[in-house]
Amino acid sequence: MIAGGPPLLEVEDLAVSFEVHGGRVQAVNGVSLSIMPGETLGIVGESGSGKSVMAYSLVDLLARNGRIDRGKARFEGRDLLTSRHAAAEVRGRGIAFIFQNPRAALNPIRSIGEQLRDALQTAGRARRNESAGRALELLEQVRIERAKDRFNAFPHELSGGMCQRVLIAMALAARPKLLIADEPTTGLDVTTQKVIMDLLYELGAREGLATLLITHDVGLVARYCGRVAVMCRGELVETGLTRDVLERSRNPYTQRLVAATPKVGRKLVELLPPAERAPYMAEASAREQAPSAETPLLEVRNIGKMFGPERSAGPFSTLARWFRGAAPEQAAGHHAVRDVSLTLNRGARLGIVGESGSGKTTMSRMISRLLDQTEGSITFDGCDIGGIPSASFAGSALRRRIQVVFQDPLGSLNPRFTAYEAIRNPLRRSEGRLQHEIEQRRVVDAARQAGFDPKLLGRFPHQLSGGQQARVGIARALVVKPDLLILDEPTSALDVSVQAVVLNQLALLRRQLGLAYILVSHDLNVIRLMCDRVIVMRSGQVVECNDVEAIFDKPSHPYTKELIDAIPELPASTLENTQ
Amino acid sequence: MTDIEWTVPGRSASIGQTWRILARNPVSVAALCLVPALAAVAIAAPWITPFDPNATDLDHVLQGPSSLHWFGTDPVGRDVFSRVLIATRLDLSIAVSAVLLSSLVGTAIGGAAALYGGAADRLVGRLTDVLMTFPLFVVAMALVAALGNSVQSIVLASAVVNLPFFVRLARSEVSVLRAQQYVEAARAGGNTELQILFGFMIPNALPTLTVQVSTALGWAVLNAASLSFIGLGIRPPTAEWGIMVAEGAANILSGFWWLAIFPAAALTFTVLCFNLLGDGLRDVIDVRTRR
Repeated sequence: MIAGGPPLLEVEDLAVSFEVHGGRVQAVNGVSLSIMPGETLGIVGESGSGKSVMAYSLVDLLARNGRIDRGKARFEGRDLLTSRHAAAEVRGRGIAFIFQNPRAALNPIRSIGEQLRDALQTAGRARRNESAGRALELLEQVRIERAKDRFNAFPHELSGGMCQRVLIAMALAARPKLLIADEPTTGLDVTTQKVIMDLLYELGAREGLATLLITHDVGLVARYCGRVAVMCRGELVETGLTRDVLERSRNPYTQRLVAATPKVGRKLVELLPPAERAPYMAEASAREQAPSAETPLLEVRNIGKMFGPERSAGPFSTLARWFRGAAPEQAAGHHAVRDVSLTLNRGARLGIVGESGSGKTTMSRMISRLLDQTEGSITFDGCDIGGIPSASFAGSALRRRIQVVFQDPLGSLNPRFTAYEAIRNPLRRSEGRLQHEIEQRRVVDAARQAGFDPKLLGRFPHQLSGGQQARVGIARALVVKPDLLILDEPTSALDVSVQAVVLNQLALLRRQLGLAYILVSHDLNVIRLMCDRVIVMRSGQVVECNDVEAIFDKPSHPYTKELIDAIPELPASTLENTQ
Repeated sequence: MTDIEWTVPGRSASIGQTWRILARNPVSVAALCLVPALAAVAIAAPWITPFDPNATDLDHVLQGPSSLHWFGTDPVGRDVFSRVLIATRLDLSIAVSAVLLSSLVGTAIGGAAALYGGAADRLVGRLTDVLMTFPLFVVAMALVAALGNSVQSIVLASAVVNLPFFVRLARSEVSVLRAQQYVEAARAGGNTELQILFGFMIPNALPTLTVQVSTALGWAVLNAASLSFIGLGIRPPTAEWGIMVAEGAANILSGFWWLAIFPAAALTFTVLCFNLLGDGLRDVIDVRTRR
């Protein structure tokens, strides 16, 4: 690639461990790698692989209980690990950082312009009187529109993508040689992700900036990185040119990681390693019903949700407005969802896709009767459930038949319930106190259906892994034998390899139990694998609704097209054989 | 179909684990042992005092600590050690009943306010604000003065003074918990609002509430003693730490230090125990600290 010259950063046999209660945990174990000037190196791995710790240890940003056991790191020929001083010298100047949650990385009570000026002055790149001009230039460089107006804006007034651009501008303030980007676009919408990544890529090319991109997303690496290093459990399992690693890797971990990433033309079971596919290949049981002409299971007509105006019209705010000479508050609400209709047959699978703020979660909460709609009607199996207020739906006999799997596997489990109690709770609510043996069998059956090992039923949520937590959430929904499952981003908090298993489990359950589901997701690749029909939402309205193939092959709406283009795809030729 | 080859494992949190948590924190262990010991003293006091706490003995007035009278005797010859012991009973029962009352009522009011929101919430919020603008000890004094000098009025006054803390705590806890995803999941699982409150929210607020209860107990002991110190509520010759300190304080300059020091030490020790207990209990009750 970049010929000749010494590498910008050279890491040799780095090992980092953390002191935890009852011993030491090896987080990074013998990692060696190098980055050439101007190069983009991707470090990919699942959570807990040590990829972030590795980067943090280079510039002395480890947590207090962390320790560098051995290893060398040289940046432009200077040793980084011998003294704290060396690391502090380089941090923010030679090496700059951007983090995952951009809003949290900015000081909430200073305007972005001031923060940029601070960064410039600390780096010694601008004097006080000229820093404002330079800060403005930087904002324009990261393509913040109307930079002059936004100079005095506070972080909370900007979107997440905008905050990330400000952080990039701050990182660039010191004219670093190396930018370490730790999951820079996780939590941002795909279209925003594309803009940010394109920006980083372009800046790298123009300024000769080398980038270390730390990510869990193989697709992102495929699109933006020249070389990639794969990490697993603290060790570097493979390094090489991105194409070689993604297409011709011989390493089983890399193969598994690449295979688990959803992509065009790959079937659901193919996300799993061949040895693990068998249980999910089961054919549909007799209970699967073909979509027929009978009455649909769910019919949603012209549903809408208007969130009322902020009810701040207490005596104090009224008084405050009066003093400011402002007009009395206008009772203007805003529509989170407007005029959406859909029909779902028994055993059907529908996807709702959209970016944050598109109203997809509001939709799913209204259908699952956790939120009242303000307009329209919802009919479930002939009953007008839209007429039952959500506050009293818990007592309805239909509650059992519509169940929800929530987004955050840990957050959706009561920390004081064991897995057993969590699964038992909805059962008791819908069927009362059953005979002990029957109750136990129902809980264990549900756990098995969800692929949860019954031996772990006595554990508390925080004692389970993310995948296991997700399965408890699924078992809890299944135990009452629902007809309709609402899956609200069920795998967005999980690693791809775990996601592959959970998605397969859900698909298998649908085939075996004949239940219908609505999958809400921001991830088009997941929707493509899991659904027959898709609704694309934007700003509370349906942009497009069609069969999944039609949506992906020839999207009719420009927004759908934009969404599809923004997915960081693996190249079509990526290894198909996972042998 | 009788093939249950499998039994439900118990909660993974066993007694052994509780001990492991405690082993890491010896101060909590001390508090956890000392508070039951205090309670035992309070219950057993009438049987373990070496002398009748109210019997005067004019032949042995104002004697210093000795092997017979461990804490000395007072101006009318009563045994100070016996009086300190028997006072534990009165002071602790006042504190426990006052805190029990205010924690139950306060949690219910605060929890309901946060749960239902709206006008009721605002009203409760403003009322606690108003109550807290007064110096709380003055409120307690006024209440005791109005209700008359009795144990009940001290209990009631301490309860009222503690109430706003519990209301605020319960309110903020419930409004945080209300936004938790597992509460929404509970709703989807068919739990009614009341079942959610008692099955999901209160148990999860328990670690925080326990700490508050424990701290409040310390304050309530201090509050009861302070009221009787200034001559409100409990009257002499009843043995009570506050009164004993007040009576003894007059004699300190004359060199009879034991009259005030021992009841004061008992008071300090009790308050300290309750404060340490709070931290220890939180670690035990909060299942998330378990591995």
